[in-house]
Amino acid sequence: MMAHILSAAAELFSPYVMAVILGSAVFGLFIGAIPGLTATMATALLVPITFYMDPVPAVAAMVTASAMAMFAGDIPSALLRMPGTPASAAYTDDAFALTKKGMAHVSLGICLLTSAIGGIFGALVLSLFAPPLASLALKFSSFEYFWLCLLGLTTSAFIMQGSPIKGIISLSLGLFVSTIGIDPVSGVPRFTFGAPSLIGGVSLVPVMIGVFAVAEILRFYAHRNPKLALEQVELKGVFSGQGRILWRERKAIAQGNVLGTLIGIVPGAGADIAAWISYSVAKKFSRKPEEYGRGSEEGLAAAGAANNAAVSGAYIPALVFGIPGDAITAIVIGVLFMKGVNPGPTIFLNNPSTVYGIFMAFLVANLLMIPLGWVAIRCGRVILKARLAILMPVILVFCMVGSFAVDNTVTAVGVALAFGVIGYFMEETGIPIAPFVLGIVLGPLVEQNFLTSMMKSGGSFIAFFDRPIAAGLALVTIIIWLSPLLALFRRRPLLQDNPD
Amino acid sequence: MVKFHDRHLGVMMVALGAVIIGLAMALPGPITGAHIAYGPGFFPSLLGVATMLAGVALAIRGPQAAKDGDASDAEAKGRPRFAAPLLVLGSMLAYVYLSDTVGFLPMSMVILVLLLMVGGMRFVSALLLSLATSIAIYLLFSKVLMVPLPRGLLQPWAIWL
Repeated sequence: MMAHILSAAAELFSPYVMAVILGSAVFGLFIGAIPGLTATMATALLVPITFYMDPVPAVAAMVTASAMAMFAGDIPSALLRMPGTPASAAYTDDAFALTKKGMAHVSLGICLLTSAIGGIFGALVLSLFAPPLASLALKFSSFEYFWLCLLGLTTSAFIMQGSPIKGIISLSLGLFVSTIGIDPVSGVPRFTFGAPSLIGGVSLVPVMIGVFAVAEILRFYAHRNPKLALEQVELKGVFSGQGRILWRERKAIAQGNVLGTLIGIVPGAGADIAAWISYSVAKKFSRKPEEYGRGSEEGLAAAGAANNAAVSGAYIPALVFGIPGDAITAIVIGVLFMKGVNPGPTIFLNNPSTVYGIFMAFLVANLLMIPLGWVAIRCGRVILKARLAILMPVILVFCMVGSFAVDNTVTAVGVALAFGVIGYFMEETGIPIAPFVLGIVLGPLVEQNFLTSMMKSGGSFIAFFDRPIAAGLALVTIIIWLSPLLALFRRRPLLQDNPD
Repeated sequence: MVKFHDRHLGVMMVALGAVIIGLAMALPGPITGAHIAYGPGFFPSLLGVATMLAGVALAIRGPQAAKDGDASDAEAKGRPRFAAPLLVLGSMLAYVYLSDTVGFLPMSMVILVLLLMVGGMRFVSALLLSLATSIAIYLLFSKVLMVPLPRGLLQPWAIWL
């Protein structure tokens, strides 16, 4: 094991990989700081570039960019009252209220340090618990995998904000897209409509670029964008007095670390949800709940730690089971597959130095966040002057070249276009994107494990509940399925009051 | 791009689910005598059923009361515009069909100039910016990442690229 750790360290700390990490850090901070450009988009845009790298630098680049973007999303929260990424939305009001009181440097300092603490905590949990979980996962059969996939898909469809019905629609369509191409069981091409380029299935990279980047570009051009007023504030002294504040809010930070990591681990739930839940839990147990929404340092610390902890935690199901915890890890899994590294328990046997490299990349990225984040805060006003009207056309060209680069055909550009339109349409109609993407990534896994299990059991569903772990996973999944029904009964009187 | 009513969306999803089931049924059945009792259409038709059921539920339930923030959000956005997003789609379509003959650099420059001017930039600055960006992206992908970006019209000057 020591030998693997050393070889991973040697690869990670080579000048080339360090340069890649530094470059993606700057890229992530920039993208995350600009409202309208998300951490997921930063990851998706990196894919075509990482395509030509070895697994360790490729994943290190995406890990760094997503962690940095997650923190940088707090900068416009404080200065514009507009979250830079959805995961900052939970505490935007608090960050901005502090700015109004002339404490922008305090609020951004809390965000920066708690982000780094959360990220490191999640990374430590990842490094400690992933290997033993992986040896447990080696005993898993198709029944456990089937339920685990289904649990991930279910949480992504049900826990997302908005209606579970739309989550199910999103999920079913994503799973359907995953069935396009040759069916691995029967060898029959499905839904290719005679197009030879579809026989291998819909390629993941242009799909991601489509739904996460092209769709945002379309959205930007379809709507008039409100003019934002940038708060003119002093941003000096980001670190001054932070030691005292962090110590005072230590309980909130610990809560954010633990909850964030746990929610990140649940397949299907990611940083956005982690921030919201940690914020409301902190408020519920706070001695000063009236401060929440009006500049609560406690809420800021809890949720700021939670979203970054979730980014790290999401890699546990991704690496151990090959089941992505959120949209970002879905992209990372796709990239690893393309590089011939199959995430899942065997990755710890076959590519141990890749795994240790990923663990260390997390620590490096989150430590690097403190100095680089400080620079980003000091340059915050300059970054926020970047106009989307200039950035969006450049991102569009980047999307086209990036999709083309995957297999050097313009078909991929067409796929990115098609999924950009689908993504735009889904966002306009309030259908969440994450279940769709998880469905595309997990579809083949669900179908194969389902069919294998059905064949093993001779068509009986009872076998799906026979093994203890499978039964446990099944129970949780079914409870989540039934939860909207229960909620429906509770809310009925409310609905009757409101005839609309 | 019209804001869709949830009921319309539900009806559309029922139709889409029906189409998925139809397509799945058209696939060949399970191979007789093999161990596989489920054909390639089995899983997709389950998805079709799920889509249809969710569509029915959405159509029956109808629109929900807007959650806090939703309504003001929609008002702030105003009516969606058509021309600019269509220009984005047109640019991508044009790239799919023309990039091989025209080449990456000219295509990218035209697209950038058009979209930057839609964004309110003047022609000369848009031209300069698009030139700089196109060359930067070309160098990154073509020289660093070794992606064979099409040269198209610039082929005679290939030695300079």
